[in-house]
Amino acid sequence: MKNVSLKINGKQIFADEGTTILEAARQSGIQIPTLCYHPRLRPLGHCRLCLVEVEGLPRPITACDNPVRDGMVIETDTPLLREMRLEILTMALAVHPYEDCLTCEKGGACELQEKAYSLQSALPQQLEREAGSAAVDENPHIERDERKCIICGRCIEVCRSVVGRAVFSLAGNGINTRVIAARDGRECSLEEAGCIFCGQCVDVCPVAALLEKGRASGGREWEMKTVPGVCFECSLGCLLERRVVGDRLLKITVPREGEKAAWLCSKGKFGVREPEAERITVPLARENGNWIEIDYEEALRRTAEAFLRIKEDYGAGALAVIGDGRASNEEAYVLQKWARGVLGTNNIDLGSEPAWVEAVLAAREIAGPRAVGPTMAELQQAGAILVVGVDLAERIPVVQMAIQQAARFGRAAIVRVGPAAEDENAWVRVCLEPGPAGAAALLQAIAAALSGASGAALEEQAAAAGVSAEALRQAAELLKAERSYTVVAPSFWEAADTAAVQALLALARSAGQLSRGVRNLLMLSAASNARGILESGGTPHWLPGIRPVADAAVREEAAAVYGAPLPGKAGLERQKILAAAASGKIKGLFACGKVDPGASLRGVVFLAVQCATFDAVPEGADVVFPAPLPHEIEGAYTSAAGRIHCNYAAAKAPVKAGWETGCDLAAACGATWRFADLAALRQEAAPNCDCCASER
Amino acid sequence: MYEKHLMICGATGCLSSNSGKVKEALEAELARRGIKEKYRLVMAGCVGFCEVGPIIVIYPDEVFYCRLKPGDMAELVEKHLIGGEVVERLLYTSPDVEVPGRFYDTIPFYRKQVFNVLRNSGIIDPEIIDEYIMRGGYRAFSRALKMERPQICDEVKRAGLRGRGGAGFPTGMKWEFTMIAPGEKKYVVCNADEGDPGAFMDRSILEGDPHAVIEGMLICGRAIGADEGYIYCRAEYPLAIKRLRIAIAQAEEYGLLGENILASGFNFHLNIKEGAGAFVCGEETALLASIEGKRGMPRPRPPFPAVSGLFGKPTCINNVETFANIPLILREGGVEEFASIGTESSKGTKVFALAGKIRNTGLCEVPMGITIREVIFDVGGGVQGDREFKAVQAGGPSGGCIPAELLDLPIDYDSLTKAGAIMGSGGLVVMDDRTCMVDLARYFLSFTQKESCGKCIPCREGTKRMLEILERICDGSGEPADLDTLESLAFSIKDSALCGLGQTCPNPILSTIRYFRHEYEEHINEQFCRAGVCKALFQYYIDPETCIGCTRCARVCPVSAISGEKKEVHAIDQSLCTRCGSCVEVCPKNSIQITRVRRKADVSS
Ligand SMILES: Cc1cc2nc3c(=O)[nH]c(=O)nc-3n(C[C@H](O)[C@H](O)[C@H](O)COP(=O)(O)O)c2cc1C
Ligand code: SF4
Ligand code: SF4
Ligand code: SF4
Ligand code: FES
Repeated sequence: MKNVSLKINGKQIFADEGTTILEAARQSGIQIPTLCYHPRLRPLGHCRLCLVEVEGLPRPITACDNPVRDGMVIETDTPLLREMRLEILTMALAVHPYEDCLTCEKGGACELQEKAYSLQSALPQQLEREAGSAAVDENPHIERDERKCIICGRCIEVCRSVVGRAVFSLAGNGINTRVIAARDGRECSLEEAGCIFCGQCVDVCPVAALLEKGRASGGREWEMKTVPGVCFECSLGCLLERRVVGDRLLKITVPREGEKAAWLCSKGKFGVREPEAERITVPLARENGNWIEIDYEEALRRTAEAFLRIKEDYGAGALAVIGDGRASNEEAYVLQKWARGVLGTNNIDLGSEPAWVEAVLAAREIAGPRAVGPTMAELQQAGAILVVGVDLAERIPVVQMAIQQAARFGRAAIVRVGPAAEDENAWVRVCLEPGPAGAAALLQAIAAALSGASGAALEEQAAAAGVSAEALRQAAELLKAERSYTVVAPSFWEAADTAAVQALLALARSAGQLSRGVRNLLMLSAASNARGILESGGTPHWLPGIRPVADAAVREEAAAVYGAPLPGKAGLERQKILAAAASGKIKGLFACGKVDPGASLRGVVFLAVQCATFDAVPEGADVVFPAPLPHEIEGAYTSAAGRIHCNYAAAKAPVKAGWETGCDLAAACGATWRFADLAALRQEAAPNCDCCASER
Repeated sequence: MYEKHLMICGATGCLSSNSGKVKEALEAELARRGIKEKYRLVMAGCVGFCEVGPIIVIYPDEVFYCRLKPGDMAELVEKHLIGGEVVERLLYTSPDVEVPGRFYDTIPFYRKQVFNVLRNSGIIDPEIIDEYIMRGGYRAFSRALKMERPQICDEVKRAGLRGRGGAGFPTGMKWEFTMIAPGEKKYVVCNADEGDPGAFMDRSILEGDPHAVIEGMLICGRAIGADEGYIYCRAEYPLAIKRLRIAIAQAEEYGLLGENILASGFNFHLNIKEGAGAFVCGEETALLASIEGKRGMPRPRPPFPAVSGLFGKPTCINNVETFANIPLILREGGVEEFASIGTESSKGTKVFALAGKIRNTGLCEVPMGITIREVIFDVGGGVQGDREFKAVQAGGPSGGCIPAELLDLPIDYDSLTKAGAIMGSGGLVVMDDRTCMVDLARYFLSFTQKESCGKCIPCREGTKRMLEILERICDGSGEPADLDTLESLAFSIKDSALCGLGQTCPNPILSTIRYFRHEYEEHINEQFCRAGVCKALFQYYIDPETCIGCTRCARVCPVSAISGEKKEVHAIDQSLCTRCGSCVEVCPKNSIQITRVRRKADVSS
């Protein structure tokens, strides 16, 4: 649909209507210098470097914000333009402390430095101005150096339009113009200005005015190795890049290429860069109330011995393996193989809500195993979005950002089930609060309205749900839009029963969001890798590839691979395992990651855990295995939408990988198998689930 | 029935020269004599001649009294109102008129003026809607209600009206763009920010005839399909805002604003937004941002407001004077009448504020195409104190200067632009031989630098660099290369800044360099400011030939730099003189003169 034809530097070019001159030029390999333009933001027009000459116009225009028009004849590199650009750049340098360039963290990645180099600017005398002094902000994440700010406006824009926070604004006039963090027009700290430390501003800042804290003299930008990864701080699974020098992780950014709507939240950007709590690097055992360091072999031996004794005394049903939802697909595969094939129990649940599992399986049934949920870019293009559940902003901020953008800058109408937060009121179109009958009744009522219920029938539904029929009609009307999506926040699954899940799916179907091959439904679990764990066999009732354990033929098939018969007895889900651990029915427990702080493990005779830091170790643990930090892990993770991404190790772990510990535990318990490397593991898992195979 | 109508100028200019007190005294005098009921006293709009305020015009006698003091009222009542005889003493006199002027057509200031926009100002009570209606008000609007929308735009186009806010964009075209822009909701916005220092045309229109602007906006709303309007008025104009509020309330009461106006199905609501008074808020996109409650900052165009303006909706934004012209055009036969005045490319009249070293400061409305000489010398009465005319600055900080050799330039958009100035909103500041053109450029640059919103590099940083150079030249440390640097910077900024503020702020520099390059060169090469403004670049000396030894200069000098005996020639001690200029003001013989700074070496040799 390239419907506009124009000439740039004598070259005939075709572009879509609405494309900017800059985009059209870049698409055909013509570079125009820019400083404030950022591909993920709308054009800002601050820097004026992107000037081009257009035949017939009296003066140059900016390429970043002017759309192409049919028949345009454009020159991007005339002597006049070169001179003007140089003059503008020189002005910018006249208020930038370029004597700092020698020691600046951003050196080599600074866009101002790059322009000064490519345009060969001279170094002008500094102009005097009132600028705030170097970083005054007392916050753990972001370092601001206002003297270096070139007032490109990117941080202001990203925070407003993407994050929806408006932490920054321009203040002052003329040469004394500043970018400040402000609340109600008064300058204040980032925190007071409402910053959620998502770090988006840091990622877009072209200079070192905004930097990640704690990277001082850690390494030059050009020394940094870029390692692609995936964030598993929540179930959305954002892609990211880790920058390391040696084994030191200096910063985490969104991927340079890739989706336009790729953002991170505070947890992804800063959360795992440096563990705040003390790291565990060697296995530990509890003796006489004190932690002592023990050999890895010793830890394995103690655990295996205890588990095998419990199995002998009480049966395999007294053993269980649980997790905090963060295991990689490979780790999940190994742990379930150990639990089922070696320990002989289906009591394995590495983390996910039963209602969520039920919903995912039902949706899979309808849409087919290959249908994936929406990307953030797709959400931004939505015509309507139904948001169910209350904890999106806090648990999955990036989805909240995308939805808000879709509402404020796109054309999406937002329908909210559950109370809307105060700052959402501006963009939520219809807000439906479930009555005493709960979410199920409300979802059912919306579904009914969507399938055309009216009159008395709708009134009845409305009465049951505790909302007005008019609101239902409105919601249904909006949700009928093209590109209609539903996003379900983790809080929904806590209280959802089968009826609620059924209602949710019925609603999605009648809104056209769910059908063969279509899955415009994003169901977010509280467990980060819930989807990968489910597909790799990490839940009690499903073997890798989501094959039912209950089916004898399936067990037979798996037994051939596992080299041992599989237990037929249904396993317990996570909450039931914890209850059984409290009551003493479960006597041997292996916990991978954090255990819910409220859980009582009183009845457990032997508790082995695998944790990266001390603060995650539960009370009463007998043996602690160390675990790698996120940036030390190589492994696959499946996002809530169903996309598999590989996380690559950005640094060498000082400890064994999770899957290795799993193999070693299995071997210590008598298994005859062991995987030489990840490739071997993935090869075995692959025929049943492609979860560990190539990225989907 | 009233015997006579007494129109007291109640605009800001005359109020500041105490017309309020004059009115009180008049009222008291009438009350004392118990004849209050016979006369109608009106605080009316500006009649333009602020120089000679306070002013009272008495109708139906058409007698123009000026420079009034409260103490004159007893005589005025006694002689004129009761005795029926004109008080000669209070009439307009001036060296260039032989007979004291009784009314407009005998006073030179008014002779070349044409009252279109100011047709009602000073004649009606701006706080009473009936007076506006009686003079044909809202007739054009009710005519427009019966017209098709494109037809309205077409009439405005055919009249050739161009925007009076500065850039002179054809108003009819702007209306048409907004009319055809897709969208249910549209807005009409009136730009009453008037940020040019010294300009007060828009204020006077709003104070003197608010309904003309409201009617213009209504017609615009009808034409483009808008049902809501905003008047963005600077908060420093409390009287204009008050009169607007009254006018809106009265129009609402009469069913001229609100729902289903005149049973036509057309709805229109009008809001007033008070602006904080930043110059850049007059720029249309900044103004819209400010109405939306954001920082008043321009944004890149496109999209133009006609497509995406206030709250993202198609918006037609025009200046106060532009709107005030509309009712004239839309009345029966108005198009032809309007277009009959002016030049080929600039139709109608333009209101100017005369300021600076001009004799008749005030407001005037003249036909387009009139020469600058006519405005300054015939209407304006020439330069104060009959000093030498040097130049006139047109268009304020965004405009340029026009030198004496171009006095016969006709005033229209294109001629002014060609000469390096702009029509702007209509400020004319006259300068005599005591104005330094380098200092003038420096003054305007320091203004724009302070007003720059700071968004784009060329304006934020570039104006500062130009200002630094100008300050250096004024200090006497300019370098020969500075002129080239200035010009090169000026051209770059003009062509690269984001909004009109940055794009036009080099104009004062470019035009002063163009016409007064020699003054720059004198500053740089000879360290001399011939106007005696840049303190480091001249000295005062007392001309021994003419000094009469009156000692006045010595007495006012704050640093006692002047010595001399009574009746003997005085002298200035250069090491003490701070060049404050106090002595120049008091010397009865004009003996204190300007000279080049004499270096020590020069003196001894
Ligand atoms: C810095 C700057 C200040 C301006 N100030 C004013 C102003 O005070 N009043 C005004 O009517 N237009 C002002 N303008 C022009 C407006 O942007 C706009 O062109 C005008 O309101 C359009 O109305 P018109 O077409 O009726 O002239 C200003 C423009 C700039 C760039
Ligand atoms: S970290 Fe996020 S919320 Fe904070 S200022 Fe930057 S973009 Fe805004
Ligand atoms: S802090 Fe960085 S992103 Fe923000 S305006 Fe300054 S240079 Fe641009
Ligand atoms: S030209 Fe000046 S006022 Fe206009 S956007 Fe740029 S900085 Fe702001
Ligand atoms: S890139 Fe176009 S103005 Fe900055």
